[in-house]
Amino acid sequence: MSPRRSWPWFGLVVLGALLLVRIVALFVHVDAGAATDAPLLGPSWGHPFGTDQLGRDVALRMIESTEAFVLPGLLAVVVTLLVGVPMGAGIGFWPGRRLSAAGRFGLTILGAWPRLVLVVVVVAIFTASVSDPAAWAPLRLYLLGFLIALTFVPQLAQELAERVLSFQREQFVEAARAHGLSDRRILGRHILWANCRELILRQCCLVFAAFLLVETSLSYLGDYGVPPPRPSWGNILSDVRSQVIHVRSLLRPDSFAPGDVLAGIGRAIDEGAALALIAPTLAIVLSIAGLLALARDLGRRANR
Amino acid sequence: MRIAALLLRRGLTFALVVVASSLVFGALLWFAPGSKLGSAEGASFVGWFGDFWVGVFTGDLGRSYRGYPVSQMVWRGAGTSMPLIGAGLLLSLASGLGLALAAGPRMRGLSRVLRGAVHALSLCPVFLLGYLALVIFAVPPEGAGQALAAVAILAIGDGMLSDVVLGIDAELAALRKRDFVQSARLRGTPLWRHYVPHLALPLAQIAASRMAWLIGGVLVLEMVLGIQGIGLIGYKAADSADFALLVAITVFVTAVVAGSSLLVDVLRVLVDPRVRKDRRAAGRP
Repeated sequence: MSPRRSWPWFGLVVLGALLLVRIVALFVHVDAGAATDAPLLGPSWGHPFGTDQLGRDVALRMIESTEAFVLPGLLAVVVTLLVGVPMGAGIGFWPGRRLSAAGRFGLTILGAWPRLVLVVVVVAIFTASVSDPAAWAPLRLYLLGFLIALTFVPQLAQELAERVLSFQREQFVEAARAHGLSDRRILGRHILWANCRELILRQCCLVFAAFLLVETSLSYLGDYGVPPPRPSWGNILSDVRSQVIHVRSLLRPDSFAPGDVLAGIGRAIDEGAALALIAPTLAIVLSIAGLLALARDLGRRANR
Repeated sequence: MRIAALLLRRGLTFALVVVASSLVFGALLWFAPGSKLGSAEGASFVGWFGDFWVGVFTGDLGRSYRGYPVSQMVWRGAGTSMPLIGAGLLLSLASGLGLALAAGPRMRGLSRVLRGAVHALSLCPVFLLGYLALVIFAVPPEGAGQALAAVAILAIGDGMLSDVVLGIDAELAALRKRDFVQSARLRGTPLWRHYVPHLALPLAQIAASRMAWLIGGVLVLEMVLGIQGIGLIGYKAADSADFALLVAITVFVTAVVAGSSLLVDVLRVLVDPRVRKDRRAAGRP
């Protein structure tokens, strides 16, 4: 790894904030589709981020959006762990077995499937085959989590297998063998727990970040993500899409003097509901940045 | 002989991966309830699978739901998307290389600020960059301006540039410790000449490892900007349950991803003399 600093604290704060907001969302549950005030209001005490063009409070929708990715994202993490860790550990610890060779081939196939394409294909099949798509829509996110997890299995398993293999000739493993410890104990406790923890945790962060990215992307596109009117950071952005030209015209300053530019931004926020555009953007970027900072720090610890 | 055997082995793996993927996706789409593929009278999956692969080589993959020839649609889509992906990849590698070389071993001042900005921008998902480009720069709905914006977004978004820069940084850090670089530095010859040949293979590896992400990125970007490429065609095919077209696109995309990693392995065998002597150095056990 490069010798530069990483910011694990930033990542932990972001992760904590996401979980906290998810818990808050349990208590502020409101009818997601209902208007609460006049459309396109600027920020005020009642609506800190203003309202969107249907008069829904943007701040509330931002909070509720965490429902779309926190639990399904955690499901993705769990599935990746449950499938990837045994596969990687097995392939690395018993590289000569026939099952390991089959596992490696399976990983190669899985690794050749682009994440988003797999998701779109499988979700399309399910949507076409269920009899009542509306009732099934909320479960779609969990299917999404499962699929994202599948696409991360090769990454985790291959990295883990390489590392476990590299430990085979280490003295501590030979010493443990000489002491008569079972393979299971050596693999589980001495190799995986003591030496591969950080590496596994790093992949967990990456899976979660990737899930957030794919969920917001699909929700923005509309058909395969969060079913409207339920909010997601992605579909809040696509909802204000019709405002884009208006916001652009408001942004256009009379001159490029700092005062005029600031006035243009102020106009866009007050009249054009530009906060509905800025808030999800910042939320997405900060969340992914936090998770990746955490992943980077874990990667550095793993290689130390 | 050794090289030929290695290449043959890799080629076989590639073919197996593509065929196996087509089998899995074909079966998924065939046996899905309500599938139009499997609904024809007297049709069997094995027969369809055989026909599909014969079709791949004869260029006749049947007709899509709306009656257009599938192979023609896939080719046209690929003709739009693949140049975008290729150009995005090249742009990303070139600018990543430039950034990493310009920064030097100790990052200070301007290059540090620049690096921070690159990472922040690169963390944006592709759809977000496309959206912001529409809002701020008013990307035109067709023509060179649109293609340029698409290439730039693909080169940056979804962590692409960030990944490339970090990868090259790590390679450079390792290279700087090597003896021949030290002696080149002492002699005062320009260092980049010594770096670049050694970076060729790692760069190709990074490119191949990002391919799957790029395909996903191009799908989203074509939706956002309205480019008639393979991503948009695939998305619409999925939306309208046009499974014949969907299978063809999925297999094509898998072949592209698996093919790029095959290409890197071929390059490795040709470039790196160690691989010919020692199979372990080939990286794949």
